[in-house]
Amino acid sequence: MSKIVAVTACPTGIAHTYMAAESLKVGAQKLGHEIKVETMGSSGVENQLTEGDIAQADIVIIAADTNVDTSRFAGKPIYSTSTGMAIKDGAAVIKEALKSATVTAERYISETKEISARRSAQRTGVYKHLMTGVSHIIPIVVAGGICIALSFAFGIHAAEEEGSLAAALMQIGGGAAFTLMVPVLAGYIAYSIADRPGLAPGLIGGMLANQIGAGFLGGLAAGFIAGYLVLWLKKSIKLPKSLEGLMPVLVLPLFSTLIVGLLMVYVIGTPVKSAMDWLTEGLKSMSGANAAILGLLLGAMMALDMGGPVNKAAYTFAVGNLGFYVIAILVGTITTALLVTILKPSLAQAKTNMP
Amino acid sequence: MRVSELLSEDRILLDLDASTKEEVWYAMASVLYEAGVVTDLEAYLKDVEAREKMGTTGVGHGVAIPHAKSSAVKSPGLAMARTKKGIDVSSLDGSLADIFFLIAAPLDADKVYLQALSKLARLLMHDSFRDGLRSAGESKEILRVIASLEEEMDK
Repeated sequence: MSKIVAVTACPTGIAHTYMAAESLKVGAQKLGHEIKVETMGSSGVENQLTEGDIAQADIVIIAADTNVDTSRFAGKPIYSTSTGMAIKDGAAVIKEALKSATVTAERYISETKEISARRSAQRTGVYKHLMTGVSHIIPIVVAGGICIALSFAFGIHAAEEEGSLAAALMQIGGGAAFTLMVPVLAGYIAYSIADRPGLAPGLIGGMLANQIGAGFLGGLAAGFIAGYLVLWLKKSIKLPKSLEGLMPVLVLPLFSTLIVGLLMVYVIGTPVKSAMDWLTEGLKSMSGANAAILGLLLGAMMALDMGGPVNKAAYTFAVGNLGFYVIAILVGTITTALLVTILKPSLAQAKTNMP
Repeated sequence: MRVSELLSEDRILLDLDASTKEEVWYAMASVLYEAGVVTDLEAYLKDVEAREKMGTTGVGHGVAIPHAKSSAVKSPGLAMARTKKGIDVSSLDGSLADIFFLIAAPLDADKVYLQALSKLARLLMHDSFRDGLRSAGESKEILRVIASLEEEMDK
């Protein structure tokens, strides 16, 4: 007995999609296989395949007359056909599929996918949302950071001269990119939690965090509040059907933004700002005589979760004190490189022992 | 919503005498036109024709399900016909069709209705359903066959 997952779709999405699905089911039953069929019809996706379904499946059958995105099946043997063939003889399609389904992507790609799927499965809930936010600010941080570094290349105070290239680079990196960092972080945390409606209150809350000086921590708070707030609003606001269209364009963004905004200004802003100030002060006070310890601490924070939230907290501090960061990040990378080179044989051993 | 609710005795044409699929379409569409489901017979048939051009709706096993989403449709509707002899509908499996379901959907057809139709589409894939439709003596019996198998499927 084989486990099969299938997707059916057709242009109108009224009949063929479902006939193909049923025919495959009937065929699978006849041949004694287990099948789950997702239908992409005009009433939306039904019987949706879960990651678990796909992972367990031996093969994937796509019976469609429209384009079906197969990226989620990477690494699985896929057999593509039309709805017509499936309707005509479901059993024959299944037999043929079991015989000739092919893996389209190369094997190592699928392996990587599997690993990242496993990792993303572990990253659930709060941590996942956090990482969604962080992963979206990384390109901004990299682009902005390098612009600032380039500006410093003209001399540490070169940017102070108005109209110079150094000043322009500083404006790009420090003025624009780093101003965006916290709003985008908050925006995408909220987006991860509540999908698109979370973006507006998240971005705005993050911007407020910037303006009231609550920085990175304030952005985290704004993002999470915005996300869960929107989820809650979505569930608790009930509009008559005729007004439902107003939910995503007016009701959700307005109310969520108002609530997040007011909370940021009146409630959360001040304590978070003091926490942020305390963190910055604490780190800064070490930067005199204890520069080495500071470097170690920052390096440790950077390396602790390699790009995660602790890393970024250290990063925001270091932005104003660029030198530390560059050194700290190098510490992590160089150490890893050295370790990998030295320990290569035993690492290979370890890898094969991994479950 | 149930398929049996979309169909009624007066929308079932048994032992229809026709020799082309267009004749069958016309007969079924007329029924829907008289029932007020279709507001413009010609425009609707044109849309059915256009859908047919995208790919045959002769789905094999002697069944055809011409259908269209059309601005000439006021409310969702279904008509059925069983022809005396098999008719060439360029079926997927080359078979001649003797069972026809004509589906009329307004452009903004809602989900409940679409789900009922998808159920009909699923039913058609079962031998027992098609046999039931073929052996039914009168319209009432057709409705019974649909209702009973529908119930079984909902279980």
